[in-house]
Amino acid sequence: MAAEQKYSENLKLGFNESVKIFVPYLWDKVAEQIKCVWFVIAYLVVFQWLVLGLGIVYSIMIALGVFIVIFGLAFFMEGLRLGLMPLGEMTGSTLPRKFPLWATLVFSFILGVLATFAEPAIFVLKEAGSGISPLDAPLLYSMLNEYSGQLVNCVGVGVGLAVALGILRFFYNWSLKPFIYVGVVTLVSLTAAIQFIPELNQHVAPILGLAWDCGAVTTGPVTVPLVLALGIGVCRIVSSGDNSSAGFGVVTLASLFPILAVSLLGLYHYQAKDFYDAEHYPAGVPEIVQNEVVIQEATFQEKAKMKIAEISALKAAREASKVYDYYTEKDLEAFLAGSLKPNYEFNFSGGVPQIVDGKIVVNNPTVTLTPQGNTPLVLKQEFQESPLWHPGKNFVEILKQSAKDATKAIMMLCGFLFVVLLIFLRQKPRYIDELVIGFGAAIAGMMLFLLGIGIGLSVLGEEVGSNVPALFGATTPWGMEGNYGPLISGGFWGKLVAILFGFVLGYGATLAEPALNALGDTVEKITVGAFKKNLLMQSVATGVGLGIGTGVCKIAYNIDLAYLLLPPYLLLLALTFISNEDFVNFAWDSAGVTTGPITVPLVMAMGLGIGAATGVSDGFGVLSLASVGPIISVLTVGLIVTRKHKQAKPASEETSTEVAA
Amino acid sequence: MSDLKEAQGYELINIILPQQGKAKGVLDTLYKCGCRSVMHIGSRGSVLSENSSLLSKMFPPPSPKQDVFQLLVPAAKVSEVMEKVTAEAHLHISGAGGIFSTPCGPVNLSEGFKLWEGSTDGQAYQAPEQKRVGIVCIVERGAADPIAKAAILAGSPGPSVYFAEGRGLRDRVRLLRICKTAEKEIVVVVVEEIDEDLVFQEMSAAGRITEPGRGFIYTIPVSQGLLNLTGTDSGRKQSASMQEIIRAIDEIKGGKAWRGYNPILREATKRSCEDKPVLTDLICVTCVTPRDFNDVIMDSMLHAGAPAASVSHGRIERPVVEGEDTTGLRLNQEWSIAQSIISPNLLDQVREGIRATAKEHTIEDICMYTYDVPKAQTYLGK
Repeated sequence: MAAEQKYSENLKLGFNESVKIFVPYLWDKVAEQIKCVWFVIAYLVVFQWLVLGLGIVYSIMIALGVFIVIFGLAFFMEGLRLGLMPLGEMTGSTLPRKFPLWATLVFSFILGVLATFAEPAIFVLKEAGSGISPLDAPLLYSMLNEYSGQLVNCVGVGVGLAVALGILRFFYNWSLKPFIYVGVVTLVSLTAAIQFIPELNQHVAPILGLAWDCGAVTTGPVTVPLVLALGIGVCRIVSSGDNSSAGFGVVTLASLFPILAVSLLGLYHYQAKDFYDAEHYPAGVPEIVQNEVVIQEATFQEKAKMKIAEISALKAAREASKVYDYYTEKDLEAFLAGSLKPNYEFNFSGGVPQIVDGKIVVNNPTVTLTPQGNTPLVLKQEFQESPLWHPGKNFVEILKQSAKDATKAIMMLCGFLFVVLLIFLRQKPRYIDELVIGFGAAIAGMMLFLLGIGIGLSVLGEEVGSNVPALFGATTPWGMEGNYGPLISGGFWGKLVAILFGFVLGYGATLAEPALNALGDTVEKITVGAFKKNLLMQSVATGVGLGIGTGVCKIAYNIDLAYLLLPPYLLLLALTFISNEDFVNFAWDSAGVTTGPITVPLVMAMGLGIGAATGVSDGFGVLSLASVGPIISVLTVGLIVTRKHKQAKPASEETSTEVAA
Repeated sequence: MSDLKEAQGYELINIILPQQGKAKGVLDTLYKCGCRSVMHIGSRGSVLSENSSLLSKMFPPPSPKQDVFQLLVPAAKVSEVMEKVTAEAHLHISGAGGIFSTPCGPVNLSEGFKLWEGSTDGQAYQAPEQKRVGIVCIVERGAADPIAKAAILAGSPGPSVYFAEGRGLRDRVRLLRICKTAEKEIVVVVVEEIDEDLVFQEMSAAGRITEPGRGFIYTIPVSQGLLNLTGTDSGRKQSASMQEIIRAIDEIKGGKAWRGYNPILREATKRSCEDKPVLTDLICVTCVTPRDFNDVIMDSMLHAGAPAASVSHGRIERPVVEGEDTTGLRLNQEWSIAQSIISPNLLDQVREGIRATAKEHTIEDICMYTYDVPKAQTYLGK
């Protein structure tokens, strides 16, 4: 046979041979990521060109960013495979053998807290709240500003407790279902209470979006694989049953606990009355601040002025194009009967603004409704030549920032695990060099990935996302000047196209999420290949698509989040009850995983864009809908395939004649 | 010189059970027969879907999960154990599972490793009319499905697939080893002897085994067996699966000749691997140890000259001893089954190597056995 050399000798490979091994390997990994990413990118570009009829601004920068994202993902996934996952599994499988239970739990708690601080995702939420005026939602404003430190701590403790509880669950082999029942029932009743008790509704309800989104956002691309691997390691040692979903469930708890933590924090501040404009608000006399803010943000009057300017521009354009369209007496009757179709421009002027109870009240304004013509009125101005690079985006600055974030996220978590493994557990991995290469690849990958998202993917997403409202209303195209739209007359159809856009965007972005890819690999590994990665990814992506479609609906029609969140969660309780343990674990875990670094910026940009066009102040809630969607879809797919399975295996009692000899 | 005692006349029984809650009953039956140690690994069955719509490609239905039990039984007791397990798990029913035994060479055991308790008398079995052969194929992870599919199409019952880690060449290429995963998939299938050549070739061709770096395929002798593993998943409309229909026709026709692989057609699509030489008369050395010792055992195998080795991890099931505390927390010990296929002249060297390692590291729980590998195929260099 070929291998006659001694085993201990290393094979000497020439340069050519090394290249022959290395190049196909590199290409395989990159090709894998291209397969994941191409869809969402092609989709966004095609949508911008063909549906919206606009060119792409900053095209060179975006192209470079996309290119970098693909390499970043390839490196990061290799880093997971070589470094993070083996490290997590090794630690998980050694810890319970060398330390008592309580020490394992303390370790898990610390890991959970660290994960929250390490992952930058939570700060994305602050961006979502950037448009919030303290007058509309004082408690939410306070929590995102004065109490943002408390907010992060709360989420950290929530995640820490969740990881510890999740690991404890493995020790006693508890089913995940009771945790879900208790968790969901608590959260649903809390949310319902906040929504439907009038007193709470007024102040606390706006934080619901933040709370539910916190749950969705906390579990990012570093935490998920690490926690999964840790769970698998622990399960290898402690679980005794035939549990093929070993290692799962922690992510679920880590998504549920922060919701509770944030809701409770909100209630606490509400009760203590130390939020903006309340009795014990620490930041000084409310009135002065209020006036300042009114001047700074100039919310009402300036918005109104802008609206007027916009509408007079429209009017002028209409006059210029000689398209006249007036309301008749019939329309007035319809208006008084409340059945006037909504395709009109809203405009008011005059009136006496006053401050009444901390609100600006405009008395006796003139409200004018101007119908939009049946023929779509498209205003195209001569756009100046599209710039190729965003002047505000400094490549080096973003590179530095993403290097910092990546190093922080990975070093904090891996360093902690590595120290525990080497010093406390005295376990020496067989190939330390492999682990180190893994960490290096993970850091480099994460860095490139964040950089690529910063200058490429999220810019593209923001661009297309904020142009989407042009489908049903007039907007200024992103990065350009002038008015554009509505492309489709009649608000309904335009909004429908926007909802469909949200669906496909959610689907595509999810397929590119690294944490979901890692979860899919883990599911395949844990079930000895019985559950294919594709099954999970496709179900999850479809679910996220549905969730984001619903989210666009929420913003476009300004529906309260509670009405959209409570029914699905009640449905989930029923689905969870009738599904088998494996699918319950996979489904609930994938919910926490879906909202990662690719989906969040894309969805946020679109949410804020549509929100601005329809007058909704914040883009919260879309993410929480995006994480309830996949749970429903995975459980449904699970029910379908298991039912098929049972029927495919009829227990026919007919005896076969092939008997053991 | 060795503290491993040697025992003769054992056979390795493999039991493959789809996860339908029968595992516990089967284990109890085995314990009652006298068996004291059962290796337990998880595997998946392979099922061909008869409807291949786009939807089922996007959402591929999960394959059935299985438990694989491996145990060593005195040759005289094999028939009895197999009958009892067959009765307990209703293995005669279509799709209920499979059981087969492989005659082993001498078994080496440490003091602490209890294989069998009770009498070892019994009727030695008579050679069956229909001989069977096991075919095992080791490939890189993710490559097993086409091989399993080829096996099913060539007429085998549903193959079982489980995971392993490979050692050997990969460890010798320094840092470039990160380019290849150590994770392997092992496809196991048991077929009747007349189907052996065809299934072997089809699997080998599907896995492109004779190309460099693809994998290894070999056969193992089977003394008796009963395989009722589903290989196809029919739509829900039919009342019998294609597998069941084919089996019924087999019975009526009294054999599989009617299935008629057209020899002329076969000639036209002759696979490249058929020309490739096969290795004959090798030996498979298997060593079962707690996972902590796996690294040193595999090192010793490789140092002794074995070209490569693979390891699967699992648990060991042992009857609960009276008085032992079984409530509350229980830590599993993980076990490893390390296997290497070597030429017979290396056997003594490898065995000595393992013995020395066992002594050096004072491994208290270790079991080593061998069985023949009549035929194998892999890339043999140019």
